[in-house]
This record gives sequence, structure tokens and C-alpha cells, in this order.
Amino acid sequence: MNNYYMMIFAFIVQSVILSGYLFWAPKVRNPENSYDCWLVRGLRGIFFIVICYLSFIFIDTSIEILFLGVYGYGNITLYLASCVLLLVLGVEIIIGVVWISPNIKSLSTFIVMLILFIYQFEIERVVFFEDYDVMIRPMLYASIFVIIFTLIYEIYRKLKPEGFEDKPFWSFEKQFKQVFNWKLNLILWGLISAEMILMIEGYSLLFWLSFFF
Amino acid sequence: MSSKESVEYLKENLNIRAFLIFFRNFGLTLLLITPIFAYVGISSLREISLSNDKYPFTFWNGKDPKTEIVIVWETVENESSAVWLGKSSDNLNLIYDGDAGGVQLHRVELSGLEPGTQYYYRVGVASTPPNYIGNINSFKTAPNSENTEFKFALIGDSQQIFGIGAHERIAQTVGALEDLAFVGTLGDIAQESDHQGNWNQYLMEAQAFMSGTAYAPLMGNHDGWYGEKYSENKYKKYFGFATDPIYADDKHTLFNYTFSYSNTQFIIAEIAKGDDEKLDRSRNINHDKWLNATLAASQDKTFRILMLHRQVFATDAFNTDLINRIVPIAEKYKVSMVIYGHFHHYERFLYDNVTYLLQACGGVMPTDTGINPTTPYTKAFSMGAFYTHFAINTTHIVARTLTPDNDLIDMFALKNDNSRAVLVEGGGM
Repeated sequence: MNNYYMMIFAFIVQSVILSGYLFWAPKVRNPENSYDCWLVRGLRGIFFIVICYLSFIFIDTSIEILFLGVYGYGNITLYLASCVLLLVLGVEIIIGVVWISPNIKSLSTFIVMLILFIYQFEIERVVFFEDYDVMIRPMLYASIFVIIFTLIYEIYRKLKPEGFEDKPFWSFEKQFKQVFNWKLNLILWGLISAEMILMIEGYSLLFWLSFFF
Repeated sequence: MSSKESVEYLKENLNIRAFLIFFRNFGLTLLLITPIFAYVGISSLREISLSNDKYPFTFWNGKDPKTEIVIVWETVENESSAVWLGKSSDNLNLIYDGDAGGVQLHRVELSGLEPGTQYYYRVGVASTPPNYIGNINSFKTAPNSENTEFKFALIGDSQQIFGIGAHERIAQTVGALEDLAFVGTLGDIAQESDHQGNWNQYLMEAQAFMSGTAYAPLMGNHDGWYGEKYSENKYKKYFGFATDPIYADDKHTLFNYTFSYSNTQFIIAEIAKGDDEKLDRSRNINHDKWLNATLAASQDKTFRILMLHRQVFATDAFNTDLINRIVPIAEKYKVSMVIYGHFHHYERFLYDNVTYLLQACGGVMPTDTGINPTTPYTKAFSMGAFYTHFAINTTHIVARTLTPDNDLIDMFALKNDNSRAVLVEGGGM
């Protein structure tokens, strides 16, 4: 995926994340709070699957452009800012969705999605030159996996002796919320919005670096 | 919270207030994504609001660039057409005064010009005092000698949907280049062929380079077709100048042309729409008869450059119809380079020792999804807003693809070797 497309996706994702912080889920602003309602957690799970998969693409795009040099480096001043923003957003999402408080379910889902991503992007596309359906199909497969996994998990929980719970291995949710708070996300949203528009117009937030080379 | 508790919680809290909060939050979320809509909306309004008035531009299409040129400009009101011309910008003489009844699209063909000469011109109405339109523009006629070094620039697909894109920035950079023989396009000038706003914006932005040099147009699939489908074909309106006196129909193309400049023959093919690709239509067969004949007649030239719109080779979009059609022609007639657009990225190929250049980065947003070049023939690949600058001398073609900040994306050189253009620099990847 090219960084132009990805910046549009990043803008949409970041707008939704920010709207979560500001309007939909005010509890996430407070490091002490979290949502317990199954409906909210369910909706959040679906959203996490989507943005987690997108974050793989954000990171992959940035690495391919910045470190593997697929565009060459002649016009780096025109894509550096977008790649850095995609990288920051992708890392924030993956940490926020999986690694701040991982349990068996979230880690399993993450691994399945990673396998789907690698197959889709690095095997199917590179080996078979298949460039389409890299978005919907993996997310659909991941969702099916999560539904089946959740059903098995719930049945297993009912059958198991009392006290079974898929506890997180660790949790630094509070520290994460303190760093990636709504203010930082607002700044990130502003930078992504500006970069997206500047890119379309042939500029970039860092295009002025060109004058120094 | 258990499932039962959650259901109870929902029952207690699902009321009018909850719905109002939902709609408020939904509205505020929409507000967050307004920057993109505001940007597109403002750009689109700006494009729509542009006047039909156009400053003059020049092209020769099928005419002889040594001695002939066509000047075109447009006025909202019906006006007569006058051209002042001279070899010095401070000494222009009225050489044409026509269209007394008044026209909106002014088209003046000049002939008898001196080869290799810089001309300055101004247009307007020959009243007293003269009513000039725009500033003094210029163009240079092609040299008589076949040993004259020259430079030109190519801008690929500009195609600014809703008025957004990087074409203006590229046009200004190209406009600042000195000593260009001409600036060419590779098609898809407009997004919608019958949208006047698209053309107003393009020709306004392109004035940055059109004011100082001639223009070599080429039709893309977004620019219209040959006649019967679109009654309001803007490409035909502004650049439609057939070399062939036969009017376009199912059997004949209209916008293909050729011209020679110094030691190089430029062949501008009309392969714009998907229907133009396969050789299953008499129209395309006739087009290739012309192509073969034109190339056969230009074997005395040092270089032959074939330009068309639709892609031949491209990552993720190998066009087997055109590969089967163009590659044998390029091989047979020793074409130095085949240049095309259509797929919105930059990619250079070497196939059977012929250079194929995909340059569709003239301002349109890159719409190709893949970023990995996936062909063994790819020598360079990039994505963004670029133009390509060519310098041709008696033995070499040197091409440099640059960003609007003039940062180098790709450079390659071809050397004439027994009438074939051999890649001598830029064999990367």
C-alpha cells in the first residue's frame, strides 16, 4: 500500500480514535477507569481488529519506504513525515490494542492477524502478484477467528472449575493512557490531517528539508 | 459486568437522553473529519468558479515546428483575434487581425517563421489602443540543423479530481526552467473530459510553462475520445488539430501526430481508451499503419521517441495487448524510448534493450496500491509528484526525473549506437 492511501486511512482511524477519547468513551481519558460492559467491549474488540490490521499496513508501508527504499531516497523530504506519522500511529495502536494488557485471547488474535497479514502481503502478493483484497478478507478471517475463539473460550469457562479467568499477563494500561492521552492524540490528528492534505498538493510537513540538501 | 447486568444496565439507560447524546457524539465525530471535506469542497468550488478566459498557448501538433505554430486563447465574450509577433519582446508587430465577427475560442495559425528563432507574441483585440490579453509570451521554433542540442520536459497525468493535486506546483517548477524547446504531456490532463472547470484549472496552472514554450499535447482516457461519443470534447476544442484530413470515425483516429525536432522524431500515438489497445478494430489497425509508416519514414533520425497514454509495462498492470503490439514495433523500427502514463507512479523498464518509461506523476494522487516493483525489467521505481527533463544532443539522450523541489528521483542516459538507443547509465535495481 502506498503512503498516500495509507495517510487517508490514518486520518480516518485517528479521527475515530480521537472521537473516542473526546466524545464516545470519556472513561479512557482517565487512567483509573476502564469499561466492563460486554457490549462496549465487544464493539471495541471489532474496532481493535480493524485498526490493528491497518496498523500492520501502516508499519509495513513505513518500513518498506524508509528502510527498504522502495521509492528511492531522492524525494525523501516529501514522504518522510508521512512515514514517521504512520509508524507512530501504527506502534501506538498495536501497543494500545494488544501489548498494554495482553491475555491469551488478545495474543492469539494478534498472532492470527499477523499470520494473515504476512500471508496476504508478503506471500500472496509477492509470490502470486495478487494485489487485491488485501484489506477485507484478512479482517473477515480474523473476525471469524475471534468469534469462534470466544465461543470456545466461553464454553471452556463454563465447563472449567470455578475461578478460571483469562487474566492479562501484565498491565501498564495506566502508564499508556498517561502518555497517549487525548492531547497527544489531538496533536497527532492535527499532524496527520495537515500531512495528508499537503501530500496531495505535492508538499509535506518536512518538504523544506530539501533546501538543506 | 456480567451479560445479565449489562442487559439490565442498557434497559435502564436507553432513553431519549442517551439517543440525544448519541447523535451529538455522532455529529461531533463527523466534525472531526471535516478537514478533508472542507479541503475537497474548497478546491472544487475554486475550480468551478474559474473563468473560461484563457491566456494564450502554443502548439504545433502535426505542423512543422521549424516554421509553423498555432496560437490558441479563449475569451468569455465574443471578440476578434489579433496577434502581435516579434523577435524581441519590445518590438512586436501586428501580424494577424481576424475573426471580425467575434469568437470565443481564438485559434491563429502562423507560418513562414524562421527556424531556430525565439519569438515573442501577444494576443488580444487590435483596437486603439490595443486591448491585450495577458502578458508577452514566447516560443522557439525548431532548429534547421540536426545537430542542435535541445531540452524538453514531460509532465504525466495531472488529472486533478475535485481540483486537488500537485500539478500547479510541478507546473511552476517546470515554468522556471530555462531554454526548453517544448513541454509535453502524457495524457489525462483532465479528470472529466467534459468538465469545463477541469480544463480551466489545468490551462490556468499550465500557463506557468505555456507562457514561455510550446506545448505537445497527448490525449488520455480521461480527456475525451475522437468525436462521436462526446459532443463536448474539450481536448478537441483546445488541442484538436489533425494531421490527417480525414475526420475521425470508427476507422480513423484524430489526435495522433508526429513532429521532428533537431535529430529526433516524436511520435504521439492515440492509444488512450481501453478500446484503443486491442488490434480487433479497424480504427486501431489503421492507427498502426500510420505508426509503422511514420516510424519507417523517420529511420534517418538519430532518435525516435514514441509517446502514448496507456501503460505498456507497469508493476501490477502488465498490459499484454499493448506489449504484443508495441514491443515488436519498437524493435523493428529501432524506437529509442517508449514513454507513457496512465498508471499513477514512476517506473522505468528495460525490455529487449528498449527503454520504456512510465511517467504518470504530473499531479494526480498516486492511486496504485502496491509499492513494490514486481517486474524483472524494472530499473527505477517511485511514487509522488514528478516531472522528467530530457536533454538530447547528437549522440545521447539524458533524462532526469525530478520532484517539484528539483530533487533527483532517477537519471538515465541512452547513447545512439547504430541507430539504436543503448542504455549507458541508470541500469539500477
